[in-house]
Amino acid sequence: MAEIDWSAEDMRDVFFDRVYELACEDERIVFLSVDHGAFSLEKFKRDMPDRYINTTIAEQNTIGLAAGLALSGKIVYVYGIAPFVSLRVLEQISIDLAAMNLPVNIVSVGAGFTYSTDGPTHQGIQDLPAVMTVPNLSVFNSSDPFSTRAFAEIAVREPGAKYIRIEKGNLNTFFKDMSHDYSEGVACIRDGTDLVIVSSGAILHEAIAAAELLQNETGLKVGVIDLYRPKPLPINNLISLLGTAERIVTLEEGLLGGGIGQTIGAFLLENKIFRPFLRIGIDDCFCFESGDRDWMRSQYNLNANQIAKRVSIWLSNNE
Amino acid sequence: MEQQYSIFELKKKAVEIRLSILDAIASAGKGHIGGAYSCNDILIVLYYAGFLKVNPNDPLWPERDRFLLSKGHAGVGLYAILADLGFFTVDELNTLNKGSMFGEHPHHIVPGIEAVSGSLGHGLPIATGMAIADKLDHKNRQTVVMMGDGECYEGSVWEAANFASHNELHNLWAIVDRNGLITGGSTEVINKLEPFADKWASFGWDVFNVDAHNIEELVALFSNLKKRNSGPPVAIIASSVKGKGVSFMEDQASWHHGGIAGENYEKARTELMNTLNEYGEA
Repeated sequence: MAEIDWSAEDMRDVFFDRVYELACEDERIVFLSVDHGAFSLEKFKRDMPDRYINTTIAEQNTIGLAAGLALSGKIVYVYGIAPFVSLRVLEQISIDLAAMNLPVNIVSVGAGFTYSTDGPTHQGIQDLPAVMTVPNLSVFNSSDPFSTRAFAEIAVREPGAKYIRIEKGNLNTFFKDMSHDYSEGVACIRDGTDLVIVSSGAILHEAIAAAELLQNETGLKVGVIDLYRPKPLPINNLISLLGTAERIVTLEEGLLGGGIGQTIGAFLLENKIFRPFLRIGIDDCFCFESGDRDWMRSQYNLNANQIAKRVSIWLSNNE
Repeated sequence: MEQQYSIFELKKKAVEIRLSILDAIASAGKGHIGGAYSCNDILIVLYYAGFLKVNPNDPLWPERDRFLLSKGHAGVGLYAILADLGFFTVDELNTLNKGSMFGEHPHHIVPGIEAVSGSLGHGLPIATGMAIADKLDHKNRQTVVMMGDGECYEGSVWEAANFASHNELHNLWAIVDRNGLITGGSTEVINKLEPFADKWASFGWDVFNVDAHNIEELVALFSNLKKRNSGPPVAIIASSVKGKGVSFMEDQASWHHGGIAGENYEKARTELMNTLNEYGEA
């Protein structure tokens, strides 16, 4: 497959351009936005006005509408800011969508500190732990343009309810093309088994930079794994990837309670992969600071230098 | 498949179904009898007088009308009708709460049940989604949702009410079982809902008040509403009596949920049988 460079594109456009193409081919697709826009949605609105509905600032109704549409044979995307299409409507997601296994795709923008100047009401640090508790719901967390585009397709191809996190702004690519099989749930982004960092979402880019720093500092071969589909957890593929790891660190731009690290920790114990294990994320708190995303990450020790330093200290305490 | 019962047959059927509900709850050990009885006559008219096209042999028949019991705690009342219509058997109904798919709140896994309910405030948004889907697909069929009046304390009801009227979903009827009681007592004492009809009207709905237990009135109203093919969605405020049909249950919040056995069961059964006998052989 030809090399594609999407790193200059906004991830919302990467996702919604594909949604537009799919909707042109499939009249079952209906798009609901809780009054949240994106440049690339304009053509959907223009060309398929009946199937683009601004459901306004009424998230509970929006999830119910999506259920009613799906119960009538539609495939639905619901788009909004992370906390509003997760925490605010967790019961609706659970009962109206997941319990009936309906093909509704909640597209959530604002993972981690995306909306870094908007305070805790807009941060996406609790949405992932919340939706991880919903039975039947598949959870996707995009980390590069290829996964972003792939998830737009999986939304239509796979049955059932899904929670899909996409980024706004640009992201570097990990792959050269679309050849990765995104049904695997997890991908090795950087080889190395002396220490493996498991991460998910945009913070993965910090994980890669931290891995490089750590490798240079310690001489350890540091691998990085992208857990882009944390639910259902791709257990067999994780066993293959983590079974040979000497040490395991998880990294998430979100609350530690109920997040990726907790999920991986339980997975490791259940599968008898007993290794030194460290979780990095945000402790039990609300983040009232306001600054750009990098600055917010730095306040919670989540930039590459801070991550490398933290792991380095942990290594020296454990060796 | 549409049932076309006469007024006489509808009235008789309403009592028969009340008896089924009584027996199912007695057998189950507990249930929501008060709320099932308050909306029973409306359900009877919808299902047996030809206002809902359904097919017991093909519950997911694509042309069917959709009925959502948003006040899911009245599930036993809907089960009793679905069993009578042949969606499943009365024997199956009597497995209620005893290790079967029949719980006090209905789920989509039961034939004839469109969506999971139990938590209040979900039905109207889902029904609104169904109605707008039919509008998109140019399908001429009805979506009917039955809510409790206490359910209308939920904000999601009003989110959907606003959306449905803006989109002129004439194919959507929201029936509110206005029995005036929540678990803790009177709605008007605890947290006033009145002027209730005005609230719906102010959200852009066409509002109709009806006696929830007057079969003739219900048939006349639904017949008129069936003629509509445009305009706003329809809110039907159905003034009802919780526990209707059994004297000692009527208008008593305490009969919202519980068991019925022994003397109470016998008294209720005798009353209902006496009523039924007024219509001839059971």
